[in-house]
Amino acid sequence: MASVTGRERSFLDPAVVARIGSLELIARTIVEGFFAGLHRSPFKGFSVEFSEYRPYLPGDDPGTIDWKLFARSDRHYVKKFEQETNLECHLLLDVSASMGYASHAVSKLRFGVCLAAALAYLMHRQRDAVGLTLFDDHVVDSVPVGSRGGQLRALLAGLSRASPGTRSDVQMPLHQLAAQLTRRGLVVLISDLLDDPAGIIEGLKHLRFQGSEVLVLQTLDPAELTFPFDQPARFEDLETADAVPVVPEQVRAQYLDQMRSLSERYRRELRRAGIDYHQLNTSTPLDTALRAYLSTRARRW
Amino acid sequence: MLGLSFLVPAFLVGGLAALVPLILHLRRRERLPRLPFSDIRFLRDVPVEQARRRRLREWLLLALRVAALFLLALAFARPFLNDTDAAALASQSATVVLIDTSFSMSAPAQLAAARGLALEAIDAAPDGHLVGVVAFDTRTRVVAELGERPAARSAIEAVSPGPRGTRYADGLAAAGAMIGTRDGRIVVVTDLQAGGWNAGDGLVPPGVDVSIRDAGRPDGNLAIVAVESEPTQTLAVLFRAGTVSDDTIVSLRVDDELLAEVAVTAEPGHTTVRLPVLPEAGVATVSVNDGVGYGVDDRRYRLLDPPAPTPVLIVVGGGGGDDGDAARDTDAVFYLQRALAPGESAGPFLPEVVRAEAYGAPTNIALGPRTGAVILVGGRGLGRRGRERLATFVRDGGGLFVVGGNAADLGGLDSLDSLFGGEPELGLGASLTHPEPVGLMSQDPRHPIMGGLGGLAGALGQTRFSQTRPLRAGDGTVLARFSDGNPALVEHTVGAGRLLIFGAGLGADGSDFPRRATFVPFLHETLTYLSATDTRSREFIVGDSPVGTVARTEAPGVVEAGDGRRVVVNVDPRESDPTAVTPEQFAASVGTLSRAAERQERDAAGGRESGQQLWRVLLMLMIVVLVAEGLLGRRMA
Repeated sequence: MASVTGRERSFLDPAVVARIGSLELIARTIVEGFFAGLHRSPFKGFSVEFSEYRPYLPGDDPGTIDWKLFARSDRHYVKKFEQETNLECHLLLDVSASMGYASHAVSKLRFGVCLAAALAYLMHRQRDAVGLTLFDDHVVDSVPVGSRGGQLRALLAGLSRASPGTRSDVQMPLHQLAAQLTRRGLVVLISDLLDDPAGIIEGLKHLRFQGSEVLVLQTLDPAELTFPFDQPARFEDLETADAVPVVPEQVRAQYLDQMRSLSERYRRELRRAGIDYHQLNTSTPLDTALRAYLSTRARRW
Repeated sequence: MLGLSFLVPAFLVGGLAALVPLILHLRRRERLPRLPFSDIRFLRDVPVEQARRRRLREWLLLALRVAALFLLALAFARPFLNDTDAAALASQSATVVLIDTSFSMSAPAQLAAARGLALEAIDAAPDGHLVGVVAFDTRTRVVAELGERPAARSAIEAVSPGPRGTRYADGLAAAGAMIGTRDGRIVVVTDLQAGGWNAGDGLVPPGVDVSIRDAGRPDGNLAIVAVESEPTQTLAVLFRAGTVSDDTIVSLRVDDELLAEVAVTAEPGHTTVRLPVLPEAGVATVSVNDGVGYGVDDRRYRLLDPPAPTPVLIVVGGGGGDDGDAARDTDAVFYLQRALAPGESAGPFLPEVVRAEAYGAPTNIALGPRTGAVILVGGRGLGRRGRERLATFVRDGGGLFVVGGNAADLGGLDSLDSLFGGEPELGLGASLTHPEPVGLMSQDPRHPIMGGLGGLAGALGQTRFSQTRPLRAGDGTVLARFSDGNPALVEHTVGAGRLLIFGAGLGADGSDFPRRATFVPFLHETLTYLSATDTRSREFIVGDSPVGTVARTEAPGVVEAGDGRRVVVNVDPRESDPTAVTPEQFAASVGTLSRAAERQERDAAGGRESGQQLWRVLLMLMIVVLVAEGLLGRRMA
């Protein structure tokens, strides 16, 4: 896997990425920044698609010479093909209100959008068929799985429409998707997972039992991970609008314990189900997520 | 059952201050910044126990602060416990029968009529009314407290008229006080005698109705209302009430020995009866036969004993001084003795000269109640004991006349101020010699001394003083001044006694005062004023209290005054006149005194509050609460 240089890494900084207006540019910047050069698809098979010509060189398989071109140009060119994979990727992005939380420049939703865009770009570049589902307590928007030329644009357009919705119900789209899947594929869930963990895990297991690979990217704000507050305040739930007066110093330790327990539960139970789980901090570079994706993909395909 | 009342309930408004911490608490809660957060599940779930405990503490802290302020307001409102049963009793309406027991109610059949009316009033009291009985003449007696009717009826049966006069105002006030703040009514059973209003109008609390029951009056009355002794005859004044004349006999007895009987036709009004000259000693009784009127005013007593002279102590300076001082003292004493005890016969004063050192020595000099006044001519040798004795004498009600022109020249007193520890400030200045003699001018003609001098007060101005001592009046009253404007006679009140300072001598050296016709009257009036025992007050009205005596004057006759003297007691001659007002006129003289009732209620409440002093308990509680608040607050911090 290619290494990421310091300059390239700066393009993976969520804060930097967030300042870029075009989602396509964001996706490209992230991916290009991550990869020094996208390796060619190692997969060649029956469903091949023309990629490029090059002059025949000794040692090349003569079967790869384009004879029609030879007839027109009287030169030997080898026709290069890249395989279009049969992998179906499903990007599930949680757009519930809690994803709109931001203690710094980048909200969890924005981080998730950028991440989903980067993954979509990457998948598209790898000729994977990619679909997108935005959900909160219901499916807000979706882009069917596809791998044609306009798919990326459709995906990015769908992502650009993402905005914080209402309450989250993560398990609902998981079960919906599991019911709709006809082929095994890769499901990438981008969510803060601040919902009923049992329900979420059950939904993910449902997908897993359908034969899909599942990658869970839990995106959390650094404030959710460290609870850095020091002044008493009325903490207002973004989803329910409920408020509770809190003296941070009084609750910090137990809050962090609860958060750690939650993460640990996800990690433990998802691993047991063969699901890759990664917790992402919205203030850290996106390469962790990309690396996780590639790792998962490389392991399965 | 006890209930809580407040002496100053207005302070309860201060209890609203208890809302301040509550408001601050709520405002502070509202002022907590709102902080959007992705999910408060863990905030709500995790610290619930701590938050609840903290919230509990906060509320406890708030409750303590509110309680402290409320207790403070409560303490300032001066609470006290009320007997609600008594309060309920106090809220019950009342009827008070106010029955006249003056001697104008003592005519035949009058008492029976009055009792009948009173009993009727008791029976006619509305259901639910408490009934009380107050008897009155010149004093008031509660003969039946508010309660059930049988007790009131029994009390009515027991009342009887006495020898006193009538004073409606006091009776109404007592009945009003008995009713207090209740609703109620006063039924006055009286003969409506007009003279009873002389002491002023009656005032009753608001909401009290006053009704009158006329007990009637005799058709006429004969009374001896005055006995005057003249050198050639004795005059008795006979009063005939009514419109017809009576033939009657006026008798004169001295010590139960009949001296004269005079047949008289008593015309309506006053008739003077001439009787023989009275002897020089004994008690004369002038009486008249009266078959229809009041019996107690049918005789009048007159004391014939010559008045006992008032002892006057003249304190002169002791030896050791220069001859000039001694001569001045001797000169002053000479004139004083001549003025106070003129001639061979006993005068109104009994002067006794004593040297200052003898006065101050632990001797047997009597300065008891029989000493009417002390004239301090010289103080040399008086000493500490003498000064203390003199000061005690004055503070206990004696009269001291300081002859400043003489006494100040003596070295026996460092300063006259030392007599009373500097209070009052006597302030005798240095002796002044006037090339042109100054006169003496009355400054307060209404003062008893100057008033007693009558026309002679003006003659004081003819007196010539060539030597005077300026006085500082200070807090005293200037009764006379020298013609140069300096105070000449200053009066101070010391304790119960009086102190007069004269700014000149009383000898012939330095003034011609002793040789003036005003000298003796001036001294007599001054010493009469200073004497606690008034030599002229040997006759009293029933109920009067002779000053300085222990005489009982509850009935007409002759009584011992307690100081060896005899005094006579007669009935009030005004009471002999049964002239009555109409019930309407009576009612018109009764006013409402709302403030008095309120004050009475307030005083009663104040008394209860002062006895209980619950405010102290509340303040202690407040301190305990504040301590608890401090401890809790520190724990929470």
